[in-house]
Amino acid sequence: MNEGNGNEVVKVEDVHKVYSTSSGPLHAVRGVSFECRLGETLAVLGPSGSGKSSLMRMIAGLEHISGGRISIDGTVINDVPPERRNVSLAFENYALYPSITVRKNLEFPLVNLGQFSRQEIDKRVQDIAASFRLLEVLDRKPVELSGGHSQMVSLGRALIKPASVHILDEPLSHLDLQFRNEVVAKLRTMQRERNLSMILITHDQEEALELSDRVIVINDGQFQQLGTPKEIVSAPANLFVADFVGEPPMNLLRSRSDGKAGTGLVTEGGTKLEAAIDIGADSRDRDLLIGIRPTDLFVANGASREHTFQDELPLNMLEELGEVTILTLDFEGLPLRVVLPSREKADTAGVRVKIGYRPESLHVFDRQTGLRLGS
Amino acid sequence: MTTSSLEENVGPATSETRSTVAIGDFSQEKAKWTVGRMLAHLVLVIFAFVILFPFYWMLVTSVRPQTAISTAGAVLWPEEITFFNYEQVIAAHLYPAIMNSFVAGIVSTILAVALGTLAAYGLERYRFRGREDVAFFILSQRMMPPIAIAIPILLIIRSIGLADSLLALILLYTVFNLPLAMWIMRSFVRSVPVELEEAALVDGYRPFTVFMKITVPLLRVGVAVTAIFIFIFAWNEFLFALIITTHGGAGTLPLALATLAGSPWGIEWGPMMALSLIAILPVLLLYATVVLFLSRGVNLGGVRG
Amino acid sequence: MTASAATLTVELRNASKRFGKIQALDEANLAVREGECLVIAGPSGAGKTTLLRLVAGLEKPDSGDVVIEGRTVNKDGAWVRRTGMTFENYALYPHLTVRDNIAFPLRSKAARNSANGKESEESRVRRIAEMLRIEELLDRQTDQLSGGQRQRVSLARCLVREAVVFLLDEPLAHLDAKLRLAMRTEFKRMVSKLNATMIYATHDYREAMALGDRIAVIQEGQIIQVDTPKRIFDQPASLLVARFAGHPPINTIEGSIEGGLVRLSDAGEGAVLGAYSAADDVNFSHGPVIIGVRPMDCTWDGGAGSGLEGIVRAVKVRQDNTGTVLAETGSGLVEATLATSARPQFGDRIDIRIEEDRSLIFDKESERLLGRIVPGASKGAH
Repeated sequence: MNEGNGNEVVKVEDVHKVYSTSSGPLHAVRGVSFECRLGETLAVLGPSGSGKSSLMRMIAGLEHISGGRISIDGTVINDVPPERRNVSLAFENYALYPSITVRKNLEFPLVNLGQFSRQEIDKRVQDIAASFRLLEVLDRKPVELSGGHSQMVSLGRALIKPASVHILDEPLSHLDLQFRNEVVAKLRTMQRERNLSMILITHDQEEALELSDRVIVINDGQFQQLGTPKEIVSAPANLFVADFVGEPPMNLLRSRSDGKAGTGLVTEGGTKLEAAIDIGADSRDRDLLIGIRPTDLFVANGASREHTFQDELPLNMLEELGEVTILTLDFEGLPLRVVLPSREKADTAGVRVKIGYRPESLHVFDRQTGLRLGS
Repeated sequence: MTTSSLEENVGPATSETRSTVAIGDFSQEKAKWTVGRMLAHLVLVIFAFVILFPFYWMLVTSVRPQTAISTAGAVLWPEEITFFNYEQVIAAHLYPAIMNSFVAGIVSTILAVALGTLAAYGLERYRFRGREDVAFFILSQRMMPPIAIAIPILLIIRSIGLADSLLALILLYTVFNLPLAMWIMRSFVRSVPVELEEAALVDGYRPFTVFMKITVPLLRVGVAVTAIFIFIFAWNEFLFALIITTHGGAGTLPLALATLAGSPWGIEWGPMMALSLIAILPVLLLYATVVLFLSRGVNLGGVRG
Repeated sequence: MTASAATLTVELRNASKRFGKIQALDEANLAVREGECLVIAGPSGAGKTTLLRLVAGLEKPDSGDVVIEGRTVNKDGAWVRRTGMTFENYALYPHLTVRDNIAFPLRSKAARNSANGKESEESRVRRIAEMLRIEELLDRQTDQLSGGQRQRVSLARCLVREAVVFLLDEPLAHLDAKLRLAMRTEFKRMVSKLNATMIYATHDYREAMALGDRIAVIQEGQIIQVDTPKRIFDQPASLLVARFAGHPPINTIEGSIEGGLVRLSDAGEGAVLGAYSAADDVNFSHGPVIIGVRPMDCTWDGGAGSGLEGIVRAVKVRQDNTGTVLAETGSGLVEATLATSARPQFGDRIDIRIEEDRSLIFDKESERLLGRIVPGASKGAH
């Protein structure tokens, strides 16, 4: 939403985190760099154990920074204690104060700051409670709340106070789907009105895609890719990102490049495919993986300019899942998945199906390095 | 190709340009040696000394010959080391006193722990009206000062013909410790997730078998802690041993120790220190076991996490 | 819908169970056919776990009957019923190795008595471990396992036995998003190989659709609808089922039926969407209704739509690289698919098109399904 260099609220530079464990040092974060700009939502996306929680805790001040620098609003905060960093944090497992009511939980950050009048505090609490559907539970204690409500209190408490950056740990994970949409709309509205900067920590790629302006993908403590949601989905920088984002995951076909120029590709089983870029441009002889998302494949309908797999493929499984239908076909001995919107009637009655693709939707990766080719 | 086509095709994506970094380059938070910390350590050292010195003194005294003790008085280092005190004391009191203490201690511990655990299980897993009242009633038995019932107990024991018998001591110690055993085991039973027992029921095991095969093995720590408390109580118990038994009959070690203090030759320090150290030994060993046990094996998570 | 010739392995007949003030199950009726995988689907607290526990024998019904293979088993203890169950938190025995955990159900007296000597314990354990790909973990202690591994051991322990029905309580709930999807695929494969009767509880709609031969939607202790996944999706009996069965969730728009026509807005002044076609047995002919349209059937292409106006609050990117827009309309938030590469901005007014032929009409009061819209008829009549 808001962009522009020099507008960086949080700057993470070559940050490392090493834990000493009983079985030796654990290098949980290895040289990750990124920045969160004013008014944007940045998602830190990675599986469990990828180091995203460590990153979050280092930014918030709950962990010591082993190496590198983190700056907030232009000031390096490596040695600044958490209460002076002007950061707010919404924990995934809520961390609500159990002995006081929801209202007092929400008030707490404001009361602590000491700069607001009682009226001002009450008004803010009302607003936040109204936004996150907490009005009926304001006078209850955390132990009486459902998971969804608890999560909203945690979120409300983080957003109620003005801060340079709000860090949200899996804010949507315990919500039912409808409420999720409401919270997404609410967060976007609040972001617009108050020019909030938010960092979202999650392992759920859907959450990252629907709520963020940019995404940084990490795995095993290392940076994978930084880009807009659209870029992450349509141009994954390496095999990890290609496989991690997207459900069902991207189909990967084994292939080998002979270093010759041109857009032609051949899979290990001999199927010829046409890419949209010149793979052989650097004339290297190497093993490749051709990626096609299940959603980028369709049932060929015989149109003349259509690119198709030359052979019809045997259909192993047909799953009708409401909005989509998933076909699992056999391609050179391995499963190939095709996702079709169920409103389109496609001819899937037969045992063998002819599959079509668009060359622009082929992704080619070097099997050794995992990196994307030809971007 | 199931979990991820990725795993079968290629390893995790790596960044080609990243060079390896020595982990040792990274700083860890270190505790700082401030004046406050040094002062605190000093205080602790002084306290440790104050507590350990008497034991040292006992040890020294126990290996000195009686003659040296009577003539030279207290010293910091023995003039000569002899184990005669130990030999004498063991010969005199191994049978029956030390043996009685062992038997009474072990048998009453086993009984109290077994019955206490069963009671705890019943109270914890079965819901019935007045459950908490029953639990409190059992615990309240222990709140009575033992000396208040000393005479009645003696009379009862005599009337059933068990005066000066090991059996009487065993029964008494068991009954005294049941409330404590039940109370301690109750919180340990509570810590065994009920899902484990439910899973075993669905797996085809009857409730008592579930108790024996699933609950009990997971109560190891609780049983150990309870058993040690109870054994130490029985081992050290003096009042009822004094009232009900006689030295030379069913009398226990504390009784034997007492006789050493009242002999016609005055207090025989050497043998007394030796016997005292022998009396302390099992307690020390058990305590060390508890510490080792607890620090190693308290994590019993059967439920995820 | 009667389950005619199919053998019923498990039945619940008007089963009720209350815990203190909460009615966990309220006169629930359910019939599970032999060999089917029946999914019990609903939000947390709906009663799914209570239902499974009633069948397993860990709870006794306050009223009604639990019937297994034709016999009423209300009074039978759990150890007598031949069921297998997985627990949401796995409940692995911490003092036993993985192998002993899996073999545990085979070593009970009941199991040894009924063992027909066909297959040895060791071979069964090995076979199940291979099916779940945990053979190399057999000699490990349970605290050395990762979350995904524990989940598979829990499944292995459940499936290793000869049981009349397998009860699975949200087995994939605590796994990472990616792992959950991978396990779902594996699970499907396993179910078809095992040919067993299963009751599978989940709150995840996509899991329910993928795994269930039939789905029973449960809410607040009541079973609302039992049907095949396709029918649950195409013909939800109530708004509740429609809300559950959809990802993204169905949009609910205020509408009304006047003179046989379906209009937007409950005041009867909005744009006409089409003619009203009532379902069988429905007596409703005019008044305020709720129109249910799935996001995939709502589009915005930059131009005019069907008259549903809203203000843009968020633009979402989906995994398949399509986009959707969340807009605030008079009926609340509506999610529509973007049918153009142009992206609306926060605060823009847009007009959303509704694909009438895929819309459902629900009664505003009772939330029952009333019927559908027949497009084209009398369009343009305002």
